[in-house]
Amino acid sequence: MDIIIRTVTKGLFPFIILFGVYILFHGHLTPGGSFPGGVIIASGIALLAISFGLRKAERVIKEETAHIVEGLVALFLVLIVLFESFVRDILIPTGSVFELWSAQQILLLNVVGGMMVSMALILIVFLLMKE
Amino acid sequence: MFEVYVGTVVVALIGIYCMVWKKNMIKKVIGLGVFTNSIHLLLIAIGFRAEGIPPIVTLGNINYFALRAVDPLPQALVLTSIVIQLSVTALALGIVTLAYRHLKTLDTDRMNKLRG
Amino acid sequence: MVFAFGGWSPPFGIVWVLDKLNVFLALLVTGVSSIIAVYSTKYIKERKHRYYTLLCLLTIGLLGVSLTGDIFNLYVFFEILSVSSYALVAFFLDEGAIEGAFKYLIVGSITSLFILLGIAMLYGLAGTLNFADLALRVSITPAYMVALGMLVAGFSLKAAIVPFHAWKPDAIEGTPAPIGAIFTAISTAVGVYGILRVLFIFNLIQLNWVLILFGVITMLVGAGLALVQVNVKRMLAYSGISQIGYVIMVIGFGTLLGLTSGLYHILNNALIKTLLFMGVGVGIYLTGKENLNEMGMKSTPLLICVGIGLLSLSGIPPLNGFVSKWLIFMASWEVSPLLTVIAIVASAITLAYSFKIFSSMFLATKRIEVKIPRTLLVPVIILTVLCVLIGVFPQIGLNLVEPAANALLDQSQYITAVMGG
Repeated sequence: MDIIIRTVTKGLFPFIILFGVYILFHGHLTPGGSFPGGVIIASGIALLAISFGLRKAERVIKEETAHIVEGLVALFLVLIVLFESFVRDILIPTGSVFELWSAQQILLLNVVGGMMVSMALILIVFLLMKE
Repeated sequence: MFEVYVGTVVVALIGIYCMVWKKNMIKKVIGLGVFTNSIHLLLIAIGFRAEGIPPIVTLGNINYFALRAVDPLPQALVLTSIVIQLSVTALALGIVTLAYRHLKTLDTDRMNKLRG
Repeated sequence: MVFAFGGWSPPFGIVWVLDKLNVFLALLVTGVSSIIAVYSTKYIKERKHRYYTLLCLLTIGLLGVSLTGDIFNLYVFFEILSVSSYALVAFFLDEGAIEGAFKYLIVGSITSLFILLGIAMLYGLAGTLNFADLALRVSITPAYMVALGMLVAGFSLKAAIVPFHAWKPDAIEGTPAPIGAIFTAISTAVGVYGILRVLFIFNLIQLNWVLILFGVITMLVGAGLALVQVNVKRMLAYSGISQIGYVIMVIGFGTLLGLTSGLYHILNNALIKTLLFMGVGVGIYLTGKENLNEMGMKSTPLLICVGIGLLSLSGIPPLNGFVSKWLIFMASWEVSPLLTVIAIVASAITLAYSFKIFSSMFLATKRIEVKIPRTLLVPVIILTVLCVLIGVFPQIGLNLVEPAANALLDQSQYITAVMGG
């Protein structure tokens, strides 16, 4: 890729990831949630992989790491569902509207689901680019 | 609203044309995306309401809420549909790469092993 | 029985409904897929973990479609089923499998998108997604008819009714034989269920010449094309298309007898096609050939089982295929004797190609001695016993099927059950 895309990517990459994380954590307050947030994070990695090649992107997150994280996150999802009452009564109360630490288990589900989405998408991008 | 429906139909026809008549596999997958997005456009247009407010019940007047709030359901449907389309597209691209490995071309006319 | 997810009452939340028709379909899905899961442990030699993941996903999709009471939820499960089907068609990764998978993917995506378009239009017109609530609100206007047309066209693509059948033999030729059994036995049944459910919502289960016409064409074209095939999986795929033609035809009558015979034929078709695909799959597993002219083998138990399956397929009296075909003939006689004649002609063609399969497998001049693994043989024998049992005591199947047909004709009962009076 040419120099313009490389330079822009270098500057923009952290902010894309940051924006994705923001969308994940504010899913219960503003439009967005697990899927858009995960897609934004994954698109940041995909941009890196396209402009600098797969090697550079693998330095940020390896393929095996993505596999492991996805599995762990799925396990965590099961745990949240199992300990639902603990989460909704003690850990995160209902709170009031437009407050970050609120809305019971929805916050956790958003974050965990978003991680799963982003890992799956990163894996798809890596596998397709290896062809 | 009428323009949106006409636009939806036009985009859908472009998508179907691209899926059916183009010979390139990647173009067929792109056509799939165009067709899907036209239907998403239709769904969003169904849920549109001029000067609507977000469908979150706060401590306001419930009658005003019922009068002005937009319908959240089409947006949820579109989000679900986007996720599904994503998986279908990923699978389609995977199959296209495998087909390229076998045929060394993306031309669908060369796919003629199965006949009859 | 109604189950509301998350405690949201029916018109608002997603519900799963278990009426007599859904019970029938769910039993079919679980029965066939569990037998196939046992059979596949031996049949699939490599990458078993992927195969079973996809098979479970496919079963989830089929079960979800057959149990849900919400039209968008139906679309989601339909897509789960479709995506896992595409991946399973491409499972062997050789050239034919990839080609079949790509064709199936393009056609199948158009199908699902037509269904989605129909759902979007229905939602825009009626403002609800629940089956029972929709049934209360729909009316016969041109706009609703367009949505109905979209949905029926989409589901008939899945059921492989003749103008839309081309993907199916291509897809089945590339798949493993047990998956071919699922495609011909249950996927089509789910497609037919979709058509039935949509017609049920619109309260249009009545004499319908369009469906009868398509059914007759499907019946004849499927049987005729099956006759000229040399690949055995392809021949069975066309045979499945032809059998679905009977079902579509009798659904078009809209009578109780018609629906009963149609559902009975779905049940019998599922049993027989699973039996045949498994029996033929044993041959493919042992000889490694799919061409009919190269498949000769010597094996008495397989000969008996496949022979019974083929006789039953063509409707020879003491077997289960005869029962449903007899009911179909009776139902069509009530409407028009000409249709009975056509059905008998198609049945005769069925007998012809059944004999072709049988003779080339067991009466060929060049036959090889084979020893069949027990894991492959036991499911085939179980299905053969079921075929004979249902043929000798037709009441077993009728007890399952007749309430389902009754439930289809009685729309108000369904609405009361879901909406709570």
